[in-house]
Amino acid sequence: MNERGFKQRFATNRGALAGLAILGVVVLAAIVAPLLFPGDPLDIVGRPLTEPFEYWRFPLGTDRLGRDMLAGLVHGARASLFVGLVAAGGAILIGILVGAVAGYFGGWTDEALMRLTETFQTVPGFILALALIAVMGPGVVSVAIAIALVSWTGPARITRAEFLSLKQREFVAASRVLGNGHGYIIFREILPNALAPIIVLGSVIVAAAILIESALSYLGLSDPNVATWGQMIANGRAVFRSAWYVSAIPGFAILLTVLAVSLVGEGLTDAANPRTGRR
Amino acid sequence: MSASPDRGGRAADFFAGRAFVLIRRRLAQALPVVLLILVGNFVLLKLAPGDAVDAYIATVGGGDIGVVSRLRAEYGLDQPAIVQLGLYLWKAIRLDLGQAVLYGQPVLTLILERLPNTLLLMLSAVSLAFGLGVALGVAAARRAGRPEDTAIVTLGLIVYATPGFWLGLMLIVIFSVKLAWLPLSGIETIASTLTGWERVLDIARHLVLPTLSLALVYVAIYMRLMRAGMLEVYGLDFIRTAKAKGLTDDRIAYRHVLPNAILPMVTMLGLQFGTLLGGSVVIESVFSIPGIGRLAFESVVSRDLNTLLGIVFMSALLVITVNLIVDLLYAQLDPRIESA
Repeated sequence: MNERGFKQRFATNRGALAGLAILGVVVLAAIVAPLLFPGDPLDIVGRPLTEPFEYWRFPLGTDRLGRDMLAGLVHGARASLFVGLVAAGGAILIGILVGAVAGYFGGWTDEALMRLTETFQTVPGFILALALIAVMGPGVVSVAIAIALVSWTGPARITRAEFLSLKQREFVAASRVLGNGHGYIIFREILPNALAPIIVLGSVIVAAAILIESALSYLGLSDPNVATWGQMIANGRAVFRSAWYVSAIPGFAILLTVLAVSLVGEGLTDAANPRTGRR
Repeated sequence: MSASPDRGGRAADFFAGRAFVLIRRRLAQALPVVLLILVGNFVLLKLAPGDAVDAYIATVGGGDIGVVSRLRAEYGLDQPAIVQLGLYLWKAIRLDLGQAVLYGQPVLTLILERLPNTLLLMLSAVSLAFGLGVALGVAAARRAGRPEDTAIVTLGLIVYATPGFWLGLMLIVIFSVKLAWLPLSGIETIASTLTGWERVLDIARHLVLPTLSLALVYVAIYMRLMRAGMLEVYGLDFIRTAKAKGLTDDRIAYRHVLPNAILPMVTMLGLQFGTLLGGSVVIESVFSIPGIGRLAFESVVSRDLNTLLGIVFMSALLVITVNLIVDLLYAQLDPRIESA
């Protein structure tokens, strides 16, 4: 792939740049959250249900217990990004391992691993995630593990397909003739050549992971002592007749973050395949 | 596929034979998957802290050691793990999913009672998503590269990024609380005496907002797939021929491109079914619809793992069935597919 052309194509994609900018703000917010809002974002700091822009102390208002919405939002970015990235990373790692072994060895190994993949594709992911959390107990880490365990089938299939075609190539035969072991051939020879489509799929998985995390924490299955966007939306539910902004604001944060990840992913896809992108 | 000696026979017979082969092959493929799911369920049951007897004792408010050990023996929980697995499989094959702690009813009864509501919600969501997604995808592909196309694609990305449960809440705020046009929650008016068409209308009004909340993400997905499929077909040689023949743009789009681009979408319907079922968990919870999604959520909250795993099993069977139906439909729509 032409490295220079790739960067140039990405840099001229306005959508991708906008996505990168939004994502930059969210990442920055997550990093500086403890500096901007040193206290616990779940502490009661003011009068309940002050509206956004009513007082300069609480630019986004307070919720029904008098907690600062902006502090919750900024701290919530940490949970969302942590779970999104860890879960997606875990899913891609499992997917690469399963797909690489299945595609490289073929035969009954492939058969067995593909049946396993099919099994995970047959069970509705969100319901399986509920079952996994029921076993592990609620919490940020169990949410991340559960999402990783229900999201690896896509990467596994793509990795397998790449390995199936790449293992026929001459450089693999050459490496084998040189006496390299299976592990070396899989991870050092084939995998680097198979990574591009997996990385592109990665953005889709991060976006989906953030959305699943928000749904799970909305249902109260994350850690109740950690501020999350989904939990803030759930808190707003009790007061949405009078103060709908309490639910609306964190929802917008999720929307913008997932949109940004998708836009960056689109940019990567288009830059990687200049011909099959937009006409 | 084995050679069919009576190829000259009636078309209906031929198709019946082909469908039969397809069903048999799909069921053979599904068998190891079902077995793996059951084994997985069993492992989860074993990993969870406490067993069915603990859960039962907790709900009745405690019991002495004698009762506990008698119950354990009754359920086979004092046997070695491999015997327990055998018992579990044997029960699951007969669809005996045990008792739900929360409702004190058999899990299967609970699931079957709630399934119609979930299926109704999913069916209306899929219809909306498929219809609107195809229409928008066609519109975008026909204007590829122009501002209208960019607008549709961007809108699709925004819709895809919107959490369905949050959209549902916002729709409730607008249409149920502020405007008071549509009911707030539930599947129908509680304790109403409506019958016939009035009841149908009542249920339809309750379904509007949940359907929108569940469907919008899939509108975005189908729109993208349809657009990409249309663009792919537009690039094929026979379309150039059609253009050279002097056919109108409309005729090319609707008679030549659309039928070819829509076929792969049918497969997607089957593949997305499981995700849709998962999505209805949170939508049913937002709108308090008594379906299996809400039952799944209630089971997590009340720590009733057995019911939850029953739902996992039944929903997997449902996914397998729906995919089989989609495959059969596909084979009928596309005669080139030889039960592949």
